[in-house]
Amino acid sequence: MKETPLYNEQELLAMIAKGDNNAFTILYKKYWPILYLHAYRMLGDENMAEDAVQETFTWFWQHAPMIDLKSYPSSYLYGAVRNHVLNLMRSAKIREKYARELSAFVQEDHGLVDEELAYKELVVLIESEIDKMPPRMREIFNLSRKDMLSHKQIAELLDISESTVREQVKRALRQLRASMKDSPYLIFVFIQILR
Amino acid sequence: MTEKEFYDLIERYTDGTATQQERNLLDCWYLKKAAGEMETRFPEDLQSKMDRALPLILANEQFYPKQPVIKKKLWPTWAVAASVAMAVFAGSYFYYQSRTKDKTEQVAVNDILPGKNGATLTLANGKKIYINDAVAGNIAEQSGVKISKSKDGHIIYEITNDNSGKVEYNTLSTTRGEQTQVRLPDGSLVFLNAMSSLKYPTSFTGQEKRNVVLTGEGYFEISKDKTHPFTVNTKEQLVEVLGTHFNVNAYTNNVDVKTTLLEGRVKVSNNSSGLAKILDPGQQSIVTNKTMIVKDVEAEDAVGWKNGRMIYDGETLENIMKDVSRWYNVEVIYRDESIKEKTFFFSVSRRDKVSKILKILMRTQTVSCNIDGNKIIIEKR
Repeated sequence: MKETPLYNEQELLAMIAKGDNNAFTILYKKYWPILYLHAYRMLGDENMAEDAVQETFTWFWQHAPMIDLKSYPSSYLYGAVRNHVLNLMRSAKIREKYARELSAFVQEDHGLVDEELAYKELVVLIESEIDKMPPRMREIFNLSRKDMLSHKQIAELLDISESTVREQVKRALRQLRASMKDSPYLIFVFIQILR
Repeated sequence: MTEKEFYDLIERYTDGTATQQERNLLDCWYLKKAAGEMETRFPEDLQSKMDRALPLILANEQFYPKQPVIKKKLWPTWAVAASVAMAVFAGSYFYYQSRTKDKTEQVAVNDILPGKNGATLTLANGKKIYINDAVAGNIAEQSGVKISKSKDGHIIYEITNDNSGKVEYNTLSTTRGEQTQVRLPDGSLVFLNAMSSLKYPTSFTGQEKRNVVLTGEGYFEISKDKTHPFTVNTKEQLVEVLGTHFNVNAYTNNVDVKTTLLEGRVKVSNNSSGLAKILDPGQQSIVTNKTMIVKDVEAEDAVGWKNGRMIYDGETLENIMKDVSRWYNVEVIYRDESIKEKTFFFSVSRRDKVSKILKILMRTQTVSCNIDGNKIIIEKR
């Protein structure tokens, strides 16, 4: 069996844009588990989570030839999964519940976050799924924090070192998990940390 | 926030048409949820779910920049002063059962493409024009009204001469695998689903009422004009529009005609019994022979088709597959009668290949579906 050489994600994107099934499969296998876990966390239903991820990858496959090749595939995947999750929240069965949640949220004072920061936090939250996976499962999917390129991406985006990112993320996630339900302001403290 | 507001907000967000504040709100709420406490269950078969889904994705075509493709909405938003949105579903459908033993094949191999925009316009003089073939520009000039086709294939009527001659009727019809949209002389908008037809006058001027005749399924956004009521006639019923958005589903031959109102008010009259009811938004009337019942429904879901989606809230397999057979132009064969009554809840894009829907149906582990040429064979699992 021929060994697949290691490509970085942008090279893979260029290949996928040309219809390369194998390149797509590599990215697919890498991101599927955490996108699924994120979607499941948002939708609370296995089938819907599967739908969201399926639609996300289908969108990605179909639109790859139109994507700016200088960008990171993961940014498209993370943005797309959010859109597909939101779209599924509109379905009749669960719509009422989410409309109510959003109404309640509107009452709270949630402040302002600019889009770029909101996206960065989304990246971190989605990737934190890896840390929440039981170790055995992580092995099965061959995912380790250091393999995910996005730490590097975040570091580049924020202009800080990769190790800083890793440390900050760990600390912030601990804090988030502990006090999220009490204070929504922590999201913004968290973002300040990343700065 | 009402459910409809929530629904529309998300649509704007994913469309890119939401305001800064709206995006901000959804972003914050979404992030808060994503960071939430909920324990994630890790299903045993994550790996196999992943492996099974991959070939279905790769079977799709990729989109290239030359072809204009990324439209989140299937239909553009028209500026209509005020309209009636209702769904009317009535007409004939085509499917038959066969007892031949077909060999089963993988659902993914031999997938079937969805329908597309297209229609046939039959002018009053009998001449037929196939809409997709005519290039943008004038199609015909008839009694003071200019009929033309826009770049994206929609038929537009413009009144060129108000005191024109006699009124003539055109019929716009779609076959299986086709759908279309037309803007009538008064600015009203009508979307036609597959296997449907709309007969309408080339001009409304000088007439007391604005009358059209529908077979199949149409979604209407009617321009307000209190002095000239708009009426939709189907074989079984008459819908008088008191101003707004509604869908009329008049497909089946056994006279089960559904009218769903989204906005405004309509009066639905049963032609054989003379019974009439006025609908409020969120209500649906079902006319069967001489009876008419009215119930509350998820109106937006009933018109999902005109937004490019097929949405089912507990619809029977039989009715779902009737829609599938019309849009995908396939025959549906059931090996077991009992499965026809099984109900499903899901939503898919009308631009997906048929395998997507079949996969969702099979997920319940109660039916199995196979594609054989242009037939879909469904059996009990």
